[in-house]
Amino acid sequence: MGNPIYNKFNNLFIILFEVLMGLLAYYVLLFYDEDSKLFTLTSILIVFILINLLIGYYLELKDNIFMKLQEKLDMENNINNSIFNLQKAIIIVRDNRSMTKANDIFFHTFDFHNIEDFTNNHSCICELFIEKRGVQHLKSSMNGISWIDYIHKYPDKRHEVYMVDKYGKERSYSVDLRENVYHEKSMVVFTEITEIKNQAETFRKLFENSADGLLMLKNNQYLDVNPTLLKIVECSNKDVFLTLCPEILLPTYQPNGVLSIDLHENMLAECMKNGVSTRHRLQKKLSGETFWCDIAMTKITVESEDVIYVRWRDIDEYKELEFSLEDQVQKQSQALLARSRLAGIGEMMENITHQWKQPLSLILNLVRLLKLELPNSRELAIISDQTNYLDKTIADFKSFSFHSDKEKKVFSLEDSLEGTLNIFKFQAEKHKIEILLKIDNDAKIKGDIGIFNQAILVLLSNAKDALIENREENRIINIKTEESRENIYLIISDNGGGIPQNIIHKIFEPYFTTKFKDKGTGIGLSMTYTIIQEAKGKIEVTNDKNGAIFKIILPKIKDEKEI
Amino acid sequence: MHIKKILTVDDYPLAAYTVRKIIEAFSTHKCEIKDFDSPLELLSVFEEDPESIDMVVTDFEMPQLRGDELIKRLRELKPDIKIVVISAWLDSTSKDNQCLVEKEVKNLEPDLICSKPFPDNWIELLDEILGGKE
Repeated sequence: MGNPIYNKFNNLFIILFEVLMGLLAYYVLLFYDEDSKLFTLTSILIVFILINLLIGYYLELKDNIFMKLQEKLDMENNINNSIFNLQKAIIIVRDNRSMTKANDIFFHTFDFHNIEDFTNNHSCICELFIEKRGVQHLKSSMNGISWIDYIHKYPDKRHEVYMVDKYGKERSYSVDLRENVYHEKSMVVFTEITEIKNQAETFRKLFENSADGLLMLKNNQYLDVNPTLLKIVECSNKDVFLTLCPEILLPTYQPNGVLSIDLHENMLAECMKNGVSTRHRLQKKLSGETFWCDIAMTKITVESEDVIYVRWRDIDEYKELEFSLEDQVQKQSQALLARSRLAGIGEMMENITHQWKQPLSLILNLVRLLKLELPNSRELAIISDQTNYLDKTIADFKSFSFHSDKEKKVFSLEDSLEGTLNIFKFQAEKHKIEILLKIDNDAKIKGDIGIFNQAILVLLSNAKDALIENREENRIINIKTEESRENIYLIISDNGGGIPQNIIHKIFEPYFTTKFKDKGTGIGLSMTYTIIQEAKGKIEVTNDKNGAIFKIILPKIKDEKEI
Repeated sequence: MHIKKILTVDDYPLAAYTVRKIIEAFSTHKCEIKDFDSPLELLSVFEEDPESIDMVVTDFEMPQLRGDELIKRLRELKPDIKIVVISAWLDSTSKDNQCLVEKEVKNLEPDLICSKPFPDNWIELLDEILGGKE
């Protein structure tokens, strides 16, 4: 064991020393006398032996120390190698010209046995770098200088390379350089970032190809925007968009009267506080057109900076549907309310007629009794007539039910018109309206006479309003019937000037009214429409030169047993 | 001529009174009529001598005893008693009452049904029923 150089030196030293001792002994043999010869030679021999022993011991000791140092060094070396090889990043050591060392992960990833295997085939790791389009990365030669010099020149830049591993899989690495670590040698560290790159790319793809409009907002300024959002706001240029401020894409006010910018700021504040904020709000395209948008803001913190990620979804269609549904529900509930009110009135009428019958009946009977005593009394005759008139009016009202009857009955059109006109008569007389009635058939209709009367009364009442409004002097309402084989036609016309063409198609819509609020609710004609429809009929409206013509078409009942 | 004995009831006393006066005044028969404002009172008078009574004119809706129950009891005592029912509900358009009452009254098969106000010829009709017995 031990260092051979040291061993050679030791041997030489011992030979020299022994030769010196031999010369000394020879000199003593030549020049010393007999007596002192023996003593001196003995002394020299003893000294020689002692010195030899000393040298031997010293050399032994020295060898031991050296061996221990050597072991320690080896161990350190092993540890260093292990650390070197255990690194997840690829580490290569280079001298001025080429790669001199690399860790196991390098050999393992790119399928080389060792450094010799690599250097036999390649002169530089940069031969493994691949080129990728559309991405900034290191190539073996960068603008005329070698990649390593390029890193050296721009140490603060983020350098990335792509390499293909032994399985053909593309891997990306970020590259760092440590120069002059040992005797002009430098170390290059390749840290794998394939996973991060993939995630970033996935995110980018999601961002770019999302069906929703997406944008990034930082300090209320646009950082990035995806093509869908550009399309939504009708902006053709991304760079132009990024210079806009969010207010430009908002109308001044939201439909509920809130300032859009206030709403936007509230949302931002809410998002910063809770992490998310969502609203349906009105946005504005660059063309100025507004539309409903479902906005979701999400706060994401990137490198300790808060970025707000905003998702836009154009919900104009749904919103329109929602509004029309809301509108419909509201109208329906109002119609229901109106109907229930009418039903209430109907019930009240019912009670009144019932309550009045008893006394009317009594009066009529008592008058009859009195007539026995005063057979020629004119006063009694008047009482009798007037009471009969009251009784008849009550009967008309009674038939004028506001209930919707589930049981349909057959009734004659003539009866219906008579009842209705009895009620309308008062109005007609008051407003000097002449009613021309021409019924020349005994047409029968199936349905509820009370409800049907109501439908007719609405038409008469509307005709009356038109006549009054039009200041027509000679006011006429014409009622006539016609028939075909299948149908009965009831035609009600007036000379009130007609319905303006621009609204004529709307008049049967619920709550459509041209009257002032105190005069009409807009429910009348729509109710007529519904009633006629429920009786399996149709109602049409046209104008002629005098006024409006309402034509009700009803299926004829041929045989009463048909019910 | 046999004197016709008639009992009439209406929970509205004036109504029963008027019915009595009208029949007395216009019937061609000689009648003896008693009016009640309670069907129970009428029943107790009827029970005393059912055979002597020719006809009962009754309202239908009465709080103490409904017309159907009254008629049932009367018929138990005298099966061929003439019954006239008067009701204000009969031609009512209130479907619930109308249908129910009309059906109920018709099921009772009275000899005459009158609705209020009385039809002009109701006394003649009543007379016919009374005469039929003779």
